[in-house]
Amino acid sequence: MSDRTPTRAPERPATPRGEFVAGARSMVPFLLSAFPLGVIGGTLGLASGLSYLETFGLAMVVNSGTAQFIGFKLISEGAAWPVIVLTTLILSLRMLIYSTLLAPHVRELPQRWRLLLGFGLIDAVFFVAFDRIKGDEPARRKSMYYFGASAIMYVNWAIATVVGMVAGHLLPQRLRDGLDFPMTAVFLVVLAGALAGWKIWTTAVSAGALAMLTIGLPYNLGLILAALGGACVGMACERIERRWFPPEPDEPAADPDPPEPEVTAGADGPPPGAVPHVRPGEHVRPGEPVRAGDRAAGDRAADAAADVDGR
Amino acid sequence: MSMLLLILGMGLATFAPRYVPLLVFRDRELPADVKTFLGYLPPALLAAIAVPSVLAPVDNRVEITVVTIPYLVAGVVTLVTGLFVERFMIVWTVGLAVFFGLRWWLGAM
Repeated sequence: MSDRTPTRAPERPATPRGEFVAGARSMVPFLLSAFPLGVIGGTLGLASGLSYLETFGLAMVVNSGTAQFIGFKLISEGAAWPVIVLTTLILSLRMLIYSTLLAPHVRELPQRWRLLLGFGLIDAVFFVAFDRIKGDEPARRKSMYYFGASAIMYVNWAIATVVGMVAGHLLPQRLRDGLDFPMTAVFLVVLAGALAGWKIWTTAVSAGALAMLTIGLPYNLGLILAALGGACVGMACERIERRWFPPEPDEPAADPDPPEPEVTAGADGPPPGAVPHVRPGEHVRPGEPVRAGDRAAGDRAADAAADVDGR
Repeated sequence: MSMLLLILGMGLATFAPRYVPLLVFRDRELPADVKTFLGYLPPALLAAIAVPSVLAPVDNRVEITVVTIPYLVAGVVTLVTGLFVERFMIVWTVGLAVFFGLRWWLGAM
């Protein structure tokens, strides 16, 4: 990164380095809100029985707060590795949507650049940088903005993780015993943001009930079963709605195409977060995923920004 | 060693959904039904994680003790607050304040 930052950020920085710095700057609100979560992540890693190196390594390899938090939780519960990996995969599925939206705009980039682009993809970066990525500039230059945003979030998370590992020891044991709740709270906040409409409510209630029924299964297998079962219930709700409550012909929802999960950019939900952006209940017209990259939407996401992956 | 493999496995699981579309989909989209299912999967998984953590926080047992009450109450408060307040950090902080406040008040810490 440049050590001589421009006196004021130009609207369209002319140089790749200028783009990189502008991208990094755009992440400031996210940096502030992600830092405390990174600190807790570092503390939790050690509390879950991992070594310093494993905690830091896991944080840096997955580059996803959600995956990291659930990983620590499941590891401390002694879950089987396929369950942990599958859970991580499911929580990362929303990235398929971001990545699919990015794909046509970066196809001329070299393979290695796209690898890096993929690795650095997190919610916050997507919402802030997609606007620039879908522009007409040469792919190499506009992607520097994305890389700037992505890189500073990564470094911020690394520093926060180290601080958490070092400072976590200062907490009294009795306080550390309750440290699984901050993680649970993260998932609850993200869930609350996703709960829009009867279909998602039904999905969540079914999944929660299934999880309680299967709680005794070994290796936390119940988690996966409940998630898949809940999602099937969601699909069933979708079918029911389409059959019995067909949308009005003039409504956007009347689009003959089956609904795509909408990327709302946190516009009407809390979450910068992960999941909440994907609201299966809402519909989006083809060719309109543009909303995801709206400047305003990105800014709103930035405001709300502290979901573990809003980081 | 097994921890190293687990971390690499998790890394692959988080990387694949980010990268595969960049590699495979150029102008194509995911099939609509797949997208719908993928849309419902995360809320379902979040509920599957969060509900037992709140209702049965200790040893997977549903019970009412000074240890479990803060999980139950703070869990409900966090979820309900999250339905009305949009800022992640505010909701999360409220949840934690209720949780640790109750723990302290009930003498569990």
